[in-house]
Amino acid sequence: MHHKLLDLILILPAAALIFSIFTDVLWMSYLQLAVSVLVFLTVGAVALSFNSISVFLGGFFFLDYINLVILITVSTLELFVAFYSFGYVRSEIAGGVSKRKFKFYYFWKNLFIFSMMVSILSNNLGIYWTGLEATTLATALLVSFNRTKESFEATWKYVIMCSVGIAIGLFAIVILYFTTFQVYGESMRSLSFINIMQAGAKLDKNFLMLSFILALVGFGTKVGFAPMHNWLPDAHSQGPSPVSALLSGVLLNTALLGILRFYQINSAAGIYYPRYFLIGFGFLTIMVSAFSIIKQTDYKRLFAFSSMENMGIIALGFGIGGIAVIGSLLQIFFHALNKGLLFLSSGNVLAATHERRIDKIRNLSKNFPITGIVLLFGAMGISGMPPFAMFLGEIYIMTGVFRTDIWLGFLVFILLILVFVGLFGKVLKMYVGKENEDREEEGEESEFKSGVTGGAHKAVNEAALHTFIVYVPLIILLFSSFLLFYIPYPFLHIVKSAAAEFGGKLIFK
Amino acid sequence: MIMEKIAELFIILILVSVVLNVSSPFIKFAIKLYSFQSLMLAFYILMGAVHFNSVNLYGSFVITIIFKVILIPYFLFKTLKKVKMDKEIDMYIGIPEALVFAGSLTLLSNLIAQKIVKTGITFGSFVFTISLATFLIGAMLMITRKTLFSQIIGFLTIDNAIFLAANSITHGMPLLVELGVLFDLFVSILILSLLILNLRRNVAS
Amino acid sequence: MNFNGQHLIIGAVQFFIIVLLAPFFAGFIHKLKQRARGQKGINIFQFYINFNKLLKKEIVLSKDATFISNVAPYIVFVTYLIILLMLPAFYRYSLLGMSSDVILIAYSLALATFFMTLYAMDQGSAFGGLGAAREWFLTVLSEPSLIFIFISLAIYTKQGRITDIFYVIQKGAENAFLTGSGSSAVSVAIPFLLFISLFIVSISENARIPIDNPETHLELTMFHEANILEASGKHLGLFEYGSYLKITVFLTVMSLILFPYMAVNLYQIPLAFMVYFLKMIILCALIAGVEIVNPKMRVFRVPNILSVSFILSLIAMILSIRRF
Repeated sequence: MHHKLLDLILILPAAALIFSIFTDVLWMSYLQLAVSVLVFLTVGAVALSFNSISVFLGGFFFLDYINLVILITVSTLELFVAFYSFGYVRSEIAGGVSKRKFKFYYFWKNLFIFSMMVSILSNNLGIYWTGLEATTLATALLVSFNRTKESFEATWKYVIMCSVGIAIGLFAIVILYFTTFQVYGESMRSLSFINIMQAGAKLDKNFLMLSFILALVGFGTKVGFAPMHNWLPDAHSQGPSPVSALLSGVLLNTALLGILRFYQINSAAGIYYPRYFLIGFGFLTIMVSAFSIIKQTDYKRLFAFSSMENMGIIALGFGIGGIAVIGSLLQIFFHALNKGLLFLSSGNVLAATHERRIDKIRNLSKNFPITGIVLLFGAMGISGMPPFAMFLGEIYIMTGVFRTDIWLGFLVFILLILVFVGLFGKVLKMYVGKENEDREEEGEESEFKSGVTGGAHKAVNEAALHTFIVYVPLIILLFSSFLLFYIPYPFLHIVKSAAAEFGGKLIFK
Repeated sequence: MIMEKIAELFIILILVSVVLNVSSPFIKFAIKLYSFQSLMLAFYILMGAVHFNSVNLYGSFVITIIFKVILIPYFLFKTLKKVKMDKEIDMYIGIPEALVFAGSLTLLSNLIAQKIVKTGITFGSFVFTISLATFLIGAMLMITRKTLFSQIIGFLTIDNAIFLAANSITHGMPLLVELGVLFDLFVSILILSLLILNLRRNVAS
Repeated sequence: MNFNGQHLIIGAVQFFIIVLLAPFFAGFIHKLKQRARGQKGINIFQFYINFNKLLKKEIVLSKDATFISNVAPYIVFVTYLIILLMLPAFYRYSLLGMSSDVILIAYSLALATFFMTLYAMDQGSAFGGLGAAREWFLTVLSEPSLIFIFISLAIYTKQGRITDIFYVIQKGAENAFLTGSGSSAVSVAIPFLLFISLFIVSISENARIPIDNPETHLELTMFHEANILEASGKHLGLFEYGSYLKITVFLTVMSLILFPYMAVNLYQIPLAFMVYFLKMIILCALIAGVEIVNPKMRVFRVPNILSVSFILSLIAMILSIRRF
């Protein structure tokens, strides 16, 4: 029973991919809803009945607690995004975008989801790599969806940097294969994660060191770690909002999974210093993104930098170990939800106003009552404020950091406050800020004119938007808030087991 | 024995073609060199295939020829013709400096290779040195040149370096994985060509 | 190395044969180029006739010339002769084999260039200084790769003398390819890199086409010719003969790197000589081919190609250090 369900997780997105070629867009949006719900239910059923590592589809794929957490994250966010897309497609088509473009949108999005599932579930590191590179290629044309010069440039940067990064990751895999080859010889087992973990201590430590560093740099490019991050804000801010949500929420985690796998292999071989690399990269990423957030002028870029910051926190947590690993695993899930709602609701503002600059958008409370409040509370949640679930993850991580090194904890804490001030302050201004009367009026007028000449007139308030795209972010917000007070026991169990599997100690039972 | 020496010649030709690539500011020449380099890589794989009589490596040889020697250069040439960009590439540093830099990268990779490589690979640290050097010089090509095409060439060079390393393990990586990698590479080249076309069109209009 | 009469005599014979053959090789390259362009071409022994004629002509010197002008042609010529005395070609020993250190050879080449440029400047004409500056521009760029080539040969074989270096390479190749023993010590990559590198260096040092054109007398394109523009009579003859010797030196070293086959006893000499002659003909054809195919390069691009040669020799050195 188990195996049938597991196969279904891969088969459903593949089926949606094939349907998207033949089906009309409006039908496809219904179909997408059905598929996403089914995927979500399947993952839920698997999660409820999951008790040990299971291998399926000829040993090429497997499921353990760590990738189960990411799988749950992907399927949950995908569900919300499917609902959002349902409204998004209708409201964009009403706004004059051709149906054919959205056919492509569904095709590439399903390819993206499918390849992401493949790389999350893969047991074979080579297949993981192939899937990860396929996600880059599938999202490339989604990022350049708007076909503007900026979006093409962002896509170029995205594809070239991520491809090179992932090529470095491939080098890491090749070097790992050098070492495992000496244990297993020429067979698929030499690349199979489970078998490599079993070989563990027999592996050559020098090679493992090199492979971990290369994997960290290579896959780290795709995660958005600090020195290699400069593609991330452009790519994440240029795509359509549902795609941005998926990119920020789950794709970064998929790339992080590769680093975690290499980390686990190193731990199994008895090498423990990779944690310092993770801590270092995590801290650097938090620092760079915190300072970038403060001087951001574009709100989608602002949220992209915030994803980077959260990836830094998650990497930091994994590096610290112990209780912080639980925090990081929770953070993966909560961050995906929270970032999803931020991108989706900011997408509403963008769709209505066609304005990306923060200082051009004022007084959301009047024109966008629901979207505005979601954005405001979402910004609060993403910086780890209490009424939302990310508080939980961050408190675990910070506890771990403070226990390990009080000065590091202090520094990270200051940086988090900086992020909060930058992010929340800017969104607050967008929400309640007084309009600069004369200048703003002019701006609105010219906006209106350009809208007329551009052919497609856009409403500048929420009423014209489809109901789904207004309320889906709100539902995510409520869900996220709800999770702070009650995390379902099975999920908590999965997270704790994943943390144990990763090597963190279990603090509470 | 003689086969081993010929294989060594092919490996060194890969490095020589990268060095020539650094020395030349012409895009067309760079694409031709890439094709040549891939051909050398394919011949190297063929040597291994004949030596070990391994089906895996024969398959790897065939797909390398198809994708790297024929298809990718063909599409690059086609794109180049469409955008009419065949002139000298602007660079951030001069060619002699870049070459000296490339030499020091080779030295560095030699040091790394000597440090970590022991046994288990057909040529040991020799292949590892060459592949690491090719890898680093490819990355350098990407960084020091301004044209979009040379970034693609640098990326492809990096990929060749990884393939060299992967195929110098006795029987190479599993064929399935290699096929996936090459297909991804091919699609990414297609997408990058498409992006170049679109970027040029946007600049022109 | 023990002294015995046989080595001395064969060494001397080898030296004379190479010196006598030098104009032939230069003429052969010239003839090939001309035939490829569709011209009838010179007599293949034309350069001997030229030399003979020049020796009979009187020497005209500028009124500003000092004693340097009288001495320099002889020094240049004798320096090349000494280098040829050190070099083995088809016999394992050479006449000055015991002092044929690679560094000495590399710097003797520089010494000859030095005196040639001194001669050029000593005449006091406008072209002399220009030619000297250009000549040093090339020499300075190709010097490092020449040194690296010789040093990596020395490191690769662990020998200092050029006769021993090539003998060790020859022995290693014989062992590896004929009997199959000790194959791991033999590298194909290093000689290959050195060959390419030396080929580029010899193109530049011998004023060949992509870099310089030996046949032109346009002031914009002259490198080597500008130095000896003022020379006449015997001096010109010596300079010309010196340049034939120089290309023979380079070609001989290249032929030895390409395929080291030197006689170790009397009976192998005919075969070894024939192999040597064949290799030289092939290399001459190669150089002529490069000259025909390529157009002359812009001067500012010359550093690029010379630094390629430098990097290749550097890589060869890195690889040869690694082996031991």
